[in-house]
Amino acid sequence: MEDTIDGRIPLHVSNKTAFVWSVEDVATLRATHHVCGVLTGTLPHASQQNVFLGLPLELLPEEVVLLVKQGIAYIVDDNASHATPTTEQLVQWNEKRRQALAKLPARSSSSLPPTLNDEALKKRLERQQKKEAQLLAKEESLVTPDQPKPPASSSKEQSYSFTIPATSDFSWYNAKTYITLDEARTSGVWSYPHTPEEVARCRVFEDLWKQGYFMGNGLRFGGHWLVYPGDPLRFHSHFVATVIPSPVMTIHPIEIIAFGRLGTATKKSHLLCGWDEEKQETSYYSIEWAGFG
Amino acid sequence: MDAASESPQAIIKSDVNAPEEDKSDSGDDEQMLDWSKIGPKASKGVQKALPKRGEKAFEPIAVGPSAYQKFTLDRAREAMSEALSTPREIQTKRLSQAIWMPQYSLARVTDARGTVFDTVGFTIKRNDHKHKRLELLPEEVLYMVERGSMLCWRESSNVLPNIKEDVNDPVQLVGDPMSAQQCFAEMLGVGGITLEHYQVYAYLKRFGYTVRRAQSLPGYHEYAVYRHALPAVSFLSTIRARLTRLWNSMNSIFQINWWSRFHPGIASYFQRTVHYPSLFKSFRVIPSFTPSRVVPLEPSSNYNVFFHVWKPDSPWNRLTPPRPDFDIVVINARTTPVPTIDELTMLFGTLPNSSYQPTQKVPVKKLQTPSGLLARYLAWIRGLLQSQSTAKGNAFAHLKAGKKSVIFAVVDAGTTSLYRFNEGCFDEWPMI
Repeated sequence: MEDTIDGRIPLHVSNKTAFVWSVEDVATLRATHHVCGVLTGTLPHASQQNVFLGLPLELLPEEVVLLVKQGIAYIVDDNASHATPTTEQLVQWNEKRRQALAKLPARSSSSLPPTLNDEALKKRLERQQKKEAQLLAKEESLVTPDQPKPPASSSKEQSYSFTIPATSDFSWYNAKTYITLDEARTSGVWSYPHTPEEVARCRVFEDLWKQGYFMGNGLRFGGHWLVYPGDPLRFHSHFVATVIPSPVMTIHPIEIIAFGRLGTATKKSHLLCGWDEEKQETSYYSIEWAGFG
Repeated sequence: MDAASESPQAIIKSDVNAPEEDKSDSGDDEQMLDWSKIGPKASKGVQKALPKRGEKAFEPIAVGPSAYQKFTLDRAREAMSEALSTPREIQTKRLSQAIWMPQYSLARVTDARGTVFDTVGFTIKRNDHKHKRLELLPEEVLYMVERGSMLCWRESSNVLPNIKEDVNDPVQLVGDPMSAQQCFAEMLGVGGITLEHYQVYAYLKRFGYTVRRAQSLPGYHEYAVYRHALPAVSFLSTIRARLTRLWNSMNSIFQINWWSRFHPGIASYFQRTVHYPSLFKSFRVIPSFTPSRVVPLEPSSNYNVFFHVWKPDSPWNRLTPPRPDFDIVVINARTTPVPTIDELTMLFGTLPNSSYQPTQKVPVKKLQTPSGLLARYLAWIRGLLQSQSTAKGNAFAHLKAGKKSVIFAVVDAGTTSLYRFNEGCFDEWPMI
């Protein structure tokens, strides 16, 4: 898509959130670096459901810190990268689009009918009207619903398949890149980790990642992350992890009970992950309901 | 439950690598997404049912992934990649177009196709154009671009007016073409909308709900917003509240059942009429509290209602939107804590009582008929002051639903969870 820096993956940052826009990069992050992120976009061909989502892939801030620190990825300031195209660039873009179009029509008109051709549309309208007439006959007292607008299709206008650009592979896209976190931080593009809690989260995340675990968002399970032994596509998570940012932090017994109870109810153990800033050490404790009685 | 799950079963599971299958509801969030069911080929109108989730294994085999595990994983990843790489292809016949105007953080629609436009945006007449035009908010444009039904242009001074070559082409160069990626970068963080807001918006829109801003757009009275009627604080009601308070305090002095201060056994010895309701009543030091004045949240507060949401089948009108079915507050899980009691009180103060009504209203029966002129007179005043007496029905349904409710959409790095906060109404449903 765009030139990469020694094989590193571009993370497009806007509003202090990192997105991955390339399908290959999503696959590489998953398979090679066991970083999953969260798909947040609408799948264009299945847009009325929330089970399967599409690009962009949003990364957890901890994942971004890890990937940049390990030299796997770099940060692109997406707000600053989109320049204003000149007239020539625009004309060029349009030319290219038309040329691609000129090759297309033979295929689209004969072999592959569009999703709804005029005849099908007509049939569908007829069916709709029939249905409405039936409904009206049945429940005359009801107020008639708003008539659906007739589709604004004229036979004069040539219709063809248009592809809305997903990624910015325009000639006027100049990636403004940052190789290290410090560079990005000084320019104000990225600020995580900012507080001691966030630093602790990043350290624990890195430690778990180095041990080969996959981490996912733990919001729905009452923790910071879910910890998976393998790719979440195929395996269940074993732990719900909560980061304790300091060894002297108070944990109330009621929290322990809540963690134990919640973990058991979801067939997981709760993992308390401690971070000691002085010793630069992580420690882990898991909580499980003992189940006596 | 534990014993049941550990007891041996006669049925052999199809997947030998899955000794622990997650069948519980709570594990539902985490079941495997079978991406093979949503490949690009499924789009041709063949598949009508929603895709289902598949099964997962417990863990990879300790020695290293088995051939079977590797095969299923590779297949799952492949299917996912394939589904992700589907282009946003659309017939120009159905393609809507808009021009993004960065100076207003709005987009004007140049070509509207489909019924989706019935519930988005607002019409406005600007000085540079002689007609009213439909303009869209950032989240609305972004959502349409993302689902592949709109091509968005960015207003540009570099477009030559005589660039038209093919008049029949529905796609004309009217600005800089914007990619979905560019829309994400440029339309969020402006016009009062953050990424979290957008994610909640898109989540609800994908389900088919009608979603609109709950606060009016600064500078645009054309954007109609439903306003919940605030409880009218009239002079009369203030006086009534004062009188009620006075009445209650007088009551508490004169009507104290002194016997009840004793042990119930002793009390019942002296006074035969002592029973549990009267005992419990005497324990209620502060019966209930309702703030007499509505103090709204600061306009900058994160806990203000951000979206009004209507169910897909409810009739809707752009100029006079009906009462929303849900009020939604959007919260970033990483930066915003749970609201304090004060903040919740302020939030609920501006919301109306929830539309949930008991199916049947049974009038309260007076248990004791007061005797004596004074007692009857007092009872009459009491009835006057507490005219909204509680109606009996299924108390628990009401207690659970609460008096008012608001939904908090909590977003953590792309994951959204919705929680309902209800204002309790225990004072209206005393158990005794």
